[in-house]
Parts: sequence; C-alpha cells; structure tokens
Amino acid sequence: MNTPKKILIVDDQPEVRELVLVTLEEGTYQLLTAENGDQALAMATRELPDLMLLDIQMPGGQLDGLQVCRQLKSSLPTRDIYIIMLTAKGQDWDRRLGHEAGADDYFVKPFSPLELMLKVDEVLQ
Amino acid sequence: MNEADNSPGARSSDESSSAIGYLAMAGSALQAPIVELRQQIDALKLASASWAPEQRSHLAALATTGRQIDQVAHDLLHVARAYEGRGASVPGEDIDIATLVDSVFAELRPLADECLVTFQVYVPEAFPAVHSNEAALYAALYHLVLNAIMFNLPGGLVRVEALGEPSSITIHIMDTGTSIPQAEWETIFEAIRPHDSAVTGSHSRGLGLPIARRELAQVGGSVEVAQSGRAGTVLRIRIPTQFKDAETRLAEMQNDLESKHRQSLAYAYDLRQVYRRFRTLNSELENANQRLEETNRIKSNFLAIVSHELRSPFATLEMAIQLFARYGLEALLPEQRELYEQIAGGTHQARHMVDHLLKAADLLSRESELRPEPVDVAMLVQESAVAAMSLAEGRGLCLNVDSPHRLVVPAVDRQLVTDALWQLIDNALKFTPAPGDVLIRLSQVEGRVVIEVADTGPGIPLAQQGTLWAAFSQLIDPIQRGTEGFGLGLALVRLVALKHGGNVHLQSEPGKGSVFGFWLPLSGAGSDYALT
Repeated sequence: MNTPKKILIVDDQPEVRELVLVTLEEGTYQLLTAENGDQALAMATRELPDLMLLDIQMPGGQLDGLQVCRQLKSSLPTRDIYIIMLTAKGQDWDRRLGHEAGADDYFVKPFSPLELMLKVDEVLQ
Repeated sequence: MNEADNSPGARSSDESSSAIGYLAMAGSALQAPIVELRQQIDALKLASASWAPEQRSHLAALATTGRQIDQVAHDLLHVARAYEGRGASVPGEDIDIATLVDSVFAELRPLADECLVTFQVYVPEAFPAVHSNEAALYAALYHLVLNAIMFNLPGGLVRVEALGEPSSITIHIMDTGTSIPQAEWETIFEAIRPHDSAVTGSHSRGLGLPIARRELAQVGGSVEVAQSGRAGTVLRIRIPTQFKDAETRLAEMQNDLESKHRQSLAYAYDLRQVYRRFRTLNSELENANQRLEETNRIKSNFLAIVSHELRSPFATLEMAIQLFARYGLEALLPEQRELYEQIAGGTHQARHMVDHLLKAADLLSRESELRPEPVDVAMLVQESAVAAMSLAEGRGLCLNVDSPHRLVVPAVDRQLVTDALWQLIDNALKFTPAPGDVLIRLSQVEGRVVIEVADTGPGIPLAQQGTLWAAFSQLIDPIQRGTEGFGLGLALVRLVALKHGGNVHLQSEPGKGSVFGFWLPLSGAGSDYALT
C-alpha cells in the first residue's frame, strides 16, 4: 500500500468541514483541515496535499479562497495540487474567477456527499 | 449589531425607522386637510336638500371617498405607531379572547351604528388559555372587524366565532357584505397591489387587511379568506396558543438546524459505507469478469486446438478407408465387410463432428468476424432444398419449400447461414420416419428474416425442449454436455443466429412434429453480439 493521499479541507464553516470529514474519513486518505485562507496557504505549502477543497468566501483571514488558489497555482512546489473550489449557490461569477485563479474544478454548496466521493476517487485514482 | 453602527443590519434598520418616521409624518399631515374636507362635505349635505337626485348621489359618493381617505390616513398612523419603538421581540402575555373581542366591538360600535351593522360574538366557555401578544391581536381583530363593517350592507351582520384547540385557536369573522372575487383572496392582504377599484370596480380596501396579517405574523398566526360568496365573507384567523417570542423561535431554529446537521452527517456516514462497499464489489466484479473472459478465451482456444489436431488424423483415417475400398471389398468376408462399413460410417461421423467443433470454436472466439455480404436468402433456401431433394427421396420423405421469390438481406455470412439451414434440414430428414413431410419455410416478420424447417417427426416433449436449448449453451463446456442425439448441429445453428444478432426457436409437441427455426435481423448482421 502506498502512503495515503492527503486531502486539505478549507472552509470557515465547521459544519462543512465536519461533513467532508465524515464523507471521506476511511483511513484511505489523510485528512487535514484549515479554517481560513492564511492557515490554508501555510498548511498547503508545508504538507503538499494531493487535493484541496477550498471555500471561496472566508471571513476572518487576510486571504480569500481565490487568492490562496492563485498563490498555490503560481508556485512550483504547490502547482500540482488539485484544487476544487467550493462556492455558494447562485454566485455565477465564482466559476469564471475560480477558473482564472487556476482552480481545477468547483462544487456548488450544498454539494452531495456522493458527488464528492466520486470526484475524490476520480482525482486521486 | 450592538456596536458596529455601519453594519448592513444597522443601516437597514436606520432606513426603515426613518421610513416609519415619514409614514407617521404623512399620516398626521393628511389629517388636517381630511378633517377640512369632511367638514366641507357635511356643510354641503345640509344644503343638499333642494338638490337634484343626481347631484345628491355624487355628494354621497364624495362622502364615502372622504371617509376612505380618512381611514387610510388612520391606517398609516397606526402602522407608524405600531412599528415605532417596537423591538424585534414582541412580548407574550395571557389573553382572554372574549374580553379582547368585546373591547374591539366597543371601539367600533359607533361606526357600526352609523353603517347600520349589528355585532354577534361567540366564544365557548371552556376556551384554552392563549399566551400571545395582546397589542398585536387587538390590532389584527380591530382591522378585520373594521373591514367587515365597511364592506357590509346596511342592515348587515358581523359575527365573530372563536374555536379552541389545544395548540391553536381559530377565529372566524363573518360578514354579510359583498363577496370578494376569488382572484383577490390573497391580493387583498398585500400592502402594495394594483389599484383595486380600477381592476374590479370595488372600493379600495385600504391597509387594514395587510396590517392585520402583519400583526398576526408577529405572533406566529395567520389570516386568510375561508369563503366568500353571496351570503357574505368568512375570514379565518389562526393563532397559536403558546406564543413564542423571537428569541425562543431563533433558539428553536438553531436547535433544529443543529439536529438536521447531525442527521446529514449520519446520512453522509451511511452513504460513505455504502459507497465503499459498492466500490469493493464493483472491483471484485471487474476482476471476476476479467477472469471469466480469460477462462472463456482459454476454453475456445483449447476447443480450436483440439479440433484442429483431431482433424488431420481423421482426414488420414478417411483417406485410408477410401483407399482400402479402392482395392476392392469383394475379397472380404461378409462379417469383415460389415465391420468395414461400421468403421467407414463411424469415421465419417466423427470427422463431421470435428468439423462442427472447429466451426463452433471459430464462432466462439472473439476474433472471428462475420464475412457479411448481400445475400438473396430465398435463392439460398432454394439451392439447399435442391441439394437435399435426393436425400429426402431416398428416405421416403416429401420435401417442400414455402418461400418468396426473392428476399435479399444486406449483410449476412452466406456460408454460415447455408451451414445452419443445412443442419436443420439434415436433422429433419434424419429424425422424420417415412412416409413424412419436411417443409422449409422462409418469411419476413417485422424486420426479421425467419428460416424454419417443419417436420412430421415424433416431436419433442416440452420437458426435453428445455434441456435441448440448455444443451446449446453447454457447448461452451462440451465435456458437461448432457443431451445426445442432436450432435453439435443445433448448437451451431444457434451460434450462427446469435453471431448475426438473431436467435433460434423451437415449436414441438409429441406426435405433432417439430418446427426448428432461426431468425436474422433484416437490417444486417449484429456481429458485435457477445457470445460469452
């Protein structure tokens, strides 16, 4: 068995983090969480996760999700982290901005746990 | 919101409080001119005794409009007062509904007398205690009863009935006034709405009904039109007996959200288990499928190799037998000659079977492709019949053909279809006792070409028909093949049909002969049909 793949979950809402943890927790993956953009950037740079779920809007830190994404994608060691942006419902502009920031995919909240599992398996296969 | 004055919430509350201020100003500013107006109208009334009836009715209309304007101004003031200084939370208290209704009636009595409307009230003795907000309920009842008076007819009735249930009370307010068109049952409760009179010709209803609805909403209640017709209108009010203030409701909502969140976590957990199980099963299935495919491939390869290897010794054997016969059999003793015939017949049969095996192996292997071409199947049937004619005559059987003159199928493998048909004819001739009939039938049914061979043989019992068909599939495992007698011929027929995207069929009854048949799709060969 290879070393478990790392997934970093970044969202300011504890409910969302909890839901993602419960959905993916299996021993198959190593799950990390962060509550704001600054934490996310630091942890991503240190831990180099394989996949990141990144909320766009996070009050409380200096950086929002898009900025974190942009910084990670423009730096060589973190460029290959697969980043899935989490956007709130009805924010069409998020999609374009996320794409411009280099995000690989996006989920609209509330998203289905099954969709998440399928996506994660697909990406980390 | 407690300290940050520039937060959006604080700003919007500022805006709405200044809007309420303007509302109050407009309401009170309107009062003086309205009083003036009504005084003028009253003065005109005194002078109107000598007027023409037409003029007097205009004046009466003016008076009504004046009163409505007065009412709207009152409503504005009421709204302003109701919202001024009222916080987000409305306090609750114990209320006696009968007393409340009485005090509403007392206040509106003068107006009711003026409009020649009488009041009735019914509140049962044992009425549940209502814990709610008195000011809100009073305002709601006041406006609803006021509305019922204003839209009543002279001599009309306004009746208030209360019904108590453990968790809520219902109050019906009935009037005997003009009906409300059903299209307006909801819109009359909306504060901003298209101008009523322009749409329906009825009088404007003012702001009373929207106010009542808002007040009731404050205490978790509601009001709606229960019915309206020629007998009048019934408004239904519902009020929960246990009023919850905003903080309690918020706390409850948070609890509710919390438990929903827990629930969704539990679902996510279950889903994860099911999903993982599904993934495991799926990959097991994929592995099993791969193994199965591999096994099948090995089997058909084995079949092909074995049959191929058997072919040449049998060919040698047959050749030797033919050469043996060429030297003449006259020198043999009759017993020897009998043995020779058996050897020759058995060898021929065995060779035939090996040929079948080879063909079957070829058909079973994935690599084997059909060689499709346009074929006139009618012609093919005729040719096969001609070839079988002498054989049939030799066995005392009558061979007939029922076929159209021409039936071209765009893409079939001529050799395979010929083989398949020959198998059916050969079987029929073999198993039908003389004298008997064998009929080759070709027809076209709904996009299918159906080829059948009917005989007058002994027929096959239903129970054996099943095993007969099962025997076809057992070809894949020839060692376990149970049914003997039909050889591999029928299995070949089925493989040919399947390979073309068609299938085989059998109709038979003991004593009534059999019909063996197969069909091919007219549209062309479905060579991608999976045979595994």
